[in-house]
Amino acid sequence: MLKTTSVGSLPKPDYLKKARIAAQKGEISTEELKELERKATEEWIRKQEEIGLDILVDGEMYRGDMATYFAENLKGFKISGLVRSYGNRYYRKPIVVSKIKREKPITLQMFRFAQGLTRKPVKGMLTGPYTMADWSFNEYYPNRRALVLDLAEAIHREAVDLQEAGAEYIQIDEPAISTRPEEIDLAIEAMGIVTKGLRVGTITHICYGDFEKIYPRMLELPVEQIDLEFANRQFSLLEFIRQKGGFSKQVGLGVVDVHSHQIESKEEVKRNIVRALEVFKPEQVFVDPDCGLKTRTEEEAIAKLKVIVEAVKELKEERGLSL
Amino acid sequence: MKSTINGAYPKIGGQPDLRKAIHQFEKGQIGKEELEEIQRETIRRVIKEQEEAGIDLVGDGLIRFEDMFSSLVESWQGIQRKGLKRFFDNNTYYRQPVIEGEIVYFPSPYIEDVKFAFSVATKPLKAILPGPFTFSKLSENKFYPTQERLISALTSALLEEARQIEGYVQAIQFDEPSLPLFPAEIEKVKEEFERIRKGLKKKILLSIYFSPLKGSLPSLADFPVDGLVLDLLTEENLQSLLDFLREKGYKKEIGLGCIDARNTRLEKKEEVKDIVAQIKDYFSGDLYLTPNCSLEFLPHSVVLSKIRNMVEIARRC
Repeated sequence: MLKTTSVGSLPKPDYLKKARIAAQKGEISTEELKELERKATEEWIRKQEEIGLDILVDGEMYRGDMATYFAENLKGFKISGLVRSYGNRYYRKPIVVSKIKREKPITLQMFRFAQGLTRKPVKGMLTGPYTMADWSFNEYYPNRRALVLDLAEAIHREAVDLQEAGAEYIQIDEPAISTRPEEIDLAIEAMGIVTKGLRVGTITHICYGDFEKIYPRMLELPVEQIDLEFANRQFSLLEFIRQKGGFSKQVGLGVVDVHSHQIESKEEVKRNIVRALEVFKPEQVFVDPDCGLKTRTEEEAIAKLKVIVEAVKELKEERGLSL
Repeated sequence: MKSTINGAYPKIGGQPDLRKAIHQFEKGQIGKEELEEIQRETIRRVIKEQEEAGIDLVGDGLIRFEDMFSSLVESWQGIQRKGLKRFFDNNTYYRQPVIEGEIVYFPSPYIEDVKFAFSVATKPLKAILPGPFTFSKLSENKFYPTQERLISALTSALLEEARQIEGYVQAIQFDEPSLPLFPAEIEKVKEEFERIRKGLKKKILLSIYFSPLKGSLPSLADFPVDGLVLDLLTEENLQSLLDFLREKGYKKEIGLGCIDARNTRLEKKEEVKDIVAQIKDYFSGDLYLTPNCSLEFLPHSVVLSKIRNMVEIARRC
């Protein structure tokens, strides 16, 4: 109970950032870049073990953006120029130009590498079909549904491969899922295709949306856990969930703000977990940052993760909860 | 037929590299004045690109704005930028304005941007501000006892800002994407725009995008502005506009948002011309061809193709 984890991305070390630019310019080979991605992944696995997190991630050293990465590795997409996400953050938005097909495994190799480095579970990390569709320009499919369902089939195959490779948890990120409440049926159907027949722990991460508009329908998403950002909205979701009648799934409790340089204090994080435990049962709760930490510096990311682990440890000791 | 843009323009793509400059500024590697200079050069670029494409009424591109409220919120008192929120149904996020005290107006640096844009533009200029209703709907109100009081305070501040700008522009556009989502509140919003109308001498426009127009368009016939800018990308919205023109006999200017600023696919000239022809059957006033919303949802290279294509279409209509 109160297992600690992180949401997916972690900051890339400077040598990898430089190598990615050099690879784009053709100054280093793909194999040289991959070697540095493995090096950075191993460093993050070691750091997460040192920090004491229960469930690890590979840190996504090989990804630029969570949607673009999968688009680059699926047939049917091409990649456009940069568009703005927020503030001074940009991403290369995929364009759907033909039928979507998964011709080869996408994350499998890096999952095997990362899991091979540790005895702790490493999460398989996928971007969900609804978000992939929503964050792409669609120039091919006649409607959104057709695009989402083809993506769901492709991502399901990747999930099955991750399960067979030994993943204990598979997270399917769907941050876009609250964008259009009227499409929640489609999002649920697509998630059902992705997780069909999976025997592992399934998680979906949803962030920065109007959860109020898709609650309680979001609880029908066929996953075991829904991971949400609480810190960004000063934990106001807790009161909402309490008033509306609770949460029937495991919850990923985002307790640190990933867009702030400021490191939350251990006391603040503990206080907020205690507030959450008035709404959720301890065995329901996984504790993590609000979202991926890739936009923080390495020092900030480590400090934020340490605060989470230390806060949970103290709280468990104080409450006599099993470690 | 003339053409214009409908909001922000890509800040990056081409020179100078504003994205890099902002990173450098955040790391303390360049100073405020250097960043300001790069922002001005970016405004110069976006105006030049629009003029070279042949756009008739150009925009400054809202280069300083991180979202539709940022520079205003940072300048005024009583209001703060807080958590990230999704901007309508886009994969784009804004920092939610949180009203914590009485809103006290201070001039924003956008005024200087508009003056600079005016100094470099050879075509007439349009400035863009958020409308008070959308501003209130996308904010969190922790101070004013009622939504009406908040909207009124926002109208006062926006009017002050608009007054500082109007000497440099041909038109000021107020963006109200929230308006069609709350048709029952349009009558109240009209009262706010009456104040804006009385307080300004220049042409004012109301821009509405992203949502179905059916429920709100009939109420906009007597809205106290000089023209409407409408998102016409759906069949339903086009039909709503045709019904509106037929039934209400609208005579003011209309911006036809037929250029999809949220999809890379280039418009087919004949299809847009057909839409314009249908509208001309019921409307003889001034028409502008425009993107349906801000161009910041597209990559820069696609924007260049889209605006050139838009101008070619407009000139043939």
